[in-house]
Amino acid sequence: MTNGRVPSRAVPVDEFVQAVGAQLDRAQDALALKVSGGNRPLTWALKDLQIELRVFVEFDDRGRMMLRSAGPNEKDASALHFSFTTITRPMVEENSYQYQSESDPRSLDDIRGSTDFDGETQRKLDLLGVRTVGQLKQLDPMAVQAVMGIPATKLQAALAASSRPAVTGQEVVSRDGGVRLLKIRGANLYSGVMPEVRLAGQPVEVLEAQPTSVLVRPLAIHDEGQVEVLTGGHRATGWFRLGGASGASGTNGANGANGANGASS
Amino acid sequence: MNHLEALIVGLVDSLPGDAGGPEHGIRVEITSVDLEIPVEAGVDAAGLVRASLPRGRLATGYDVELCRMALRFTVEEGA
Repeated sequence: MTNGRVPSRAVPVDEFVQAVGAQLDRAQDALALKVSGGNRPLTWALKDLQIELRVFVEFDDRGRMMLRSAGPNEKDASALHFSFTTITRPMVEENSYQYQSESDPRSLDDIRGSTDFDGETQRKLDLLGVRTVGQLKQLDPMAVQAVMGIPATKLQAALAASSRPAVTGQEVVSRDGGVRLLKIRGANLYSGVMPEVRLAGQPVEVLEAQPTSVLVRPLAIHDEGQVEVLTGGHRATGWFRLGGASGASGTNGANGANGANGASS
Repeated sequence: MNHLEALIVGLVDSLPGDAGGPEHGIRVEITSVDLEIPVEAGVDAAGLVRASLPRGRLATGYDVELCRMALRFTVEEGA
């Protein structure tokens, strides 16, 4: 809580709406605590909220709509009306993109190094709601060129880059009897034929393979090193780290730590 | 200014749950309340809504233009 003035900085509308959603969740949680903490059978719940804000509406250089609160004695601010209501979990799931069922959940940033997407192209794809490589693959380059003005050749080059295998992370999976397996995460790792996988240069048994993951059995001598996945004439690389002989499970990025991407050739 | 959620919880604390009782011969339960209030509100640098009730007689003349907020509360059984 603070008594300070609201700093005048413009914020994007989507960030604002997400922040309000989080604030309303916190309000509901606090109201629910009154029931559990006070042993009361009934509680007040917030059903609807309408708020009219005095703001100045601006657009940044990426074309995003920004809101800036009106300060003292700033006249002629716009009145923006927001209405929030409570919705159930099925309604949320029905109206939002299902990332968990995405065939290729990589961010477009993950293939930016192998494409020539500039800021303008990225902005146009944002406007289309395209955020993952899986969504990009569903686009018809000619239709996108006609509607959004993104050159079809640029999209075709991006699609070609996105179809190559990539290693994005790893997960140590512990099984009964202290057996440790390694799940290699990525994209395009399986194309109908079992891939060949090498850990630190040595071939290992592939137990399961899917486009987004491959489960392998490391050898007893394996601790850390390079992962190579060979499939469809391409080779994707990353790094693995089993984390000692304790059998602890863990999830890491492609280099055995967080975040970094592997390479593909 | 408070965070929006603090204002909402504070408003709920001021709501009556019922009225009357055996001594009055009648008891009325409230099932929902609609509030429409003027607020001093704005969006802070983190995108969070800050909102407080107007300062009334303590207003200085340099205050921001008031916004309006409408809330609907309903009574629900605890989980």
